[in-house]
Amino acid sequence: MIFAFRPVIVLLLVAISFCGISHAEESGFRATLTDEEKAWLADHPVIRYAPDPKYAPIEFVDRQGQYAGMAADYLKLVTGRLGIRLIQVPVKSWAEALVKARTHEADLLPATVDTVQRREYLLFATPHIFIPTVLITARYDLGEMPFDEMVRSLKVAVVQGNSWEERLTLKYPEAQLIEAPDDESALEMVSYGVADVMIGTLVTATYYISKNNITNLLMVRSIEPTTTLSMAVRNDWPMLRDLLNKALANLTEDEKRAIDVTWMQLPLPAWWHNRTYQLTAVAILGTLLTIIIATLAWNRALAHKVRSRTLALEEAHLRLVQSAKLESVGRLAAGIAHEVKNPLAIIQMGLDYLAADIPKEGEGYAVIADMEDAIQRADTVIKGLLDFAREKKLDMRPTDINEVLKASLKLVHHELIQYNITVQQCLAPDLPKINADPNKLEQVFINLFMNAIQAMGRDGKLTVTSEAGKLKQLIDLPSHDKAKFTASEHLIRLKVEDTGPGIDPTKLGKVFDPFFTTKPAGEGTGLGLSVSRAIVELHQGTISLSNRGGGGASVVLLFKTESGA
Amino acid sequence: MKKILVVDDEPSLTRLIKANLERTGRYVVRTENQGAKAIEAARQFRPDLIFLDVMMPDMSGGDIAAALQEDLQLCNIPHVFLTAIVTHDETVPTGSQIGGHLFLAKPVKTEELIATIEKVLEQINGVKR
Repeated sequence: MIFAFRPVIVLLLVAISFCGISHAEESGFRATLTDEEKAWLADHPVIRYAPDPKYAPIEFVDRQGQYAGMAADYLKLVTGRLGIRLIQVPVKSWAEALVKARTHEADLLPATVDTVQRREYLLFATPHIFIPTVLITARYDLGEMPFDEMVRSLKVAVVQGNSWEERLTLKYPEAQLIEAPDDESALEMVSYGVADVMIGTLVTATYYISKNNITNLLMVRSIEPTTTLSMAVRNDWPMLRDLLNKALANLTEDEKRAIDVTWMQLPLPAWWHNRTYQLTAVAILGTLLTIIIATLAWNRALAHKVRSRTLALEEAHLRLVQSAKLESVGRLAAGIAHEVKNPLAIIQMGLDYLAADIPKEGEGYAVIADMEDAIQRADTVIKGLLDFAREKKLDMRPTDINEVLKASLKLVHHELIQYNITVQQCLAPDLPKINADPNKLEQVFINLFMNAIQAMGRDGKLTVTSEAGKLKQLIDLPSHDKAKFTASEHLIRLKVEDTGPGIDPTKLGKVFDPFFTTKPAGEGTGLGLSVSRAIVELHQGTISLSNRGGGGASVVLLFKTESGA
Repeated sequence: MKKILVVDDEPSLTRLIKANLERTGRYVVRTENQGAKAIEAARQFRPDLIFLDVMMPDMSGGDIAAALQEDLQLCNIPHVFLTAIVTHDETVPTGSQIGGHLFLAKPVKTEELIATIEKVLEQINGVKR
């Protein structure tokens, strides 16, 4: 960074020297002028100059149209001494500048090599800028080639109007010269192989090579003569040339050195062109980008993790609620078992006691037997409740529900025949498998089938339907079933319909309650549907019961499919 | 005459068990309705077998069994649990085992009690012989 500021500091110093020293120098210098000179200057207060717009750093026109460079600084100093006001004649090229000078549209050329042809229309002041002349090529095999041979055998790029064009044309008429509008273009031609070699100055070549980041050019060697630049004025104004010479001679060494220091150094690339800076910037940007990408990826992963974790937690919570429910049911069942079975035990023992005194053939003994049956029935109910409460462990595996339905129908085959019940199976052929415990589901289906059979009595019709689809496609669902799933979720729906009397609408809400039964006393435990619902809910499914429009009951079960189908 | 101790918090049940067993003429039965007093009763009575109710308000049958095991004089007395809280699958007439413990499910019949007593005592005598 300190290096980057160096040219700025130098410029500041130069500016200060102009402000501080120059005024004194100027007033002192004016005193040395003759009356004739003063009169000429009074007659010619404004001088028009035409600079080469692209000859940096010797002279050039910057983006704002300001004239700058070594020659510009010299011109400012000299014309400052003389009290001349300057007007820039805008030109597009050095060749045009020469034309303007020839036609006297320009009075002065600030940096010009003295040549025979130019002397026809220009007067040259004392040379003030001296730059080594160099050969520039992209060909690495030219190092030892003599200059004569080079010019004769190779394509040489020269700037149009450059002194070397004149010199080479005169000395080597056979030379293949390729004209370029400016040094920058000439260098490009050499870099791209349009020309083999170009003749330029050390500073301009260095400037444009580094400005354009040209990497394939070599400065083979310096050649004579050195590029020697003078201010040149129109040939009818010798007084101006003399005045310029006088002013140039008056320049102090400090002033000249300040200009050299400013412009003769290798142009320092802008700080952002600094390789270390670039590497650092790239590294920092790369790191930042990596961090940003990593952060984004991490966020994504985290969001995903959170989502799946939330899902898992919800699932776990659901299971916990489920098991807590079951546990409370379990505790309740245990309490009931204890409170009911102890009296049953007392009754049983009492019956045993009484039975000892009753003849086995008599009516009294039949009463004892009925009472013992009643005890057994009550005991069965309580054991069923305990079974229900402990219905926790599932053996989950991919299960074809249609197969389970068919197997369950086979198990109630005897009852179906006995009651002459017709079975209609509407099973979807491409039903996706679900993760389930087939034995437990079989228990559910048998419960449902047995309920239907018992409800219908003789000659009924049992319809078993299975279908797959999204929730929104499965219409006519009870709303509480819908609430458990999302609209786009893939589901399996099973329907078990009978042609029995249906359920009393006032009792529909209770059918899943434990011990609720519509069957005659002794025929049902009132636990079938409760156990069924517990099993279905352990499968994350729903079960609901409704009356069909045309009579009979309809049980609908919904299960999620694993992957959606 | 085999000595049977029946521990259950239901006096009517222990009374009926006692009556039913003693009526056979093969057993002398002592009953205890407070779990906490079961050990003391066992020390005094020195039964051949103890029936233990599991769920009792002051001391559970499991605790009593553990205390019996720790008592050098009582640890050899076999005990059979009587429990109300078992499922269909867990019960077998004349005694199933849960965790290595013999038990009978209430409501139990007198004939099941007798069969169990005989079976357990026969096994023990077999070992002693």
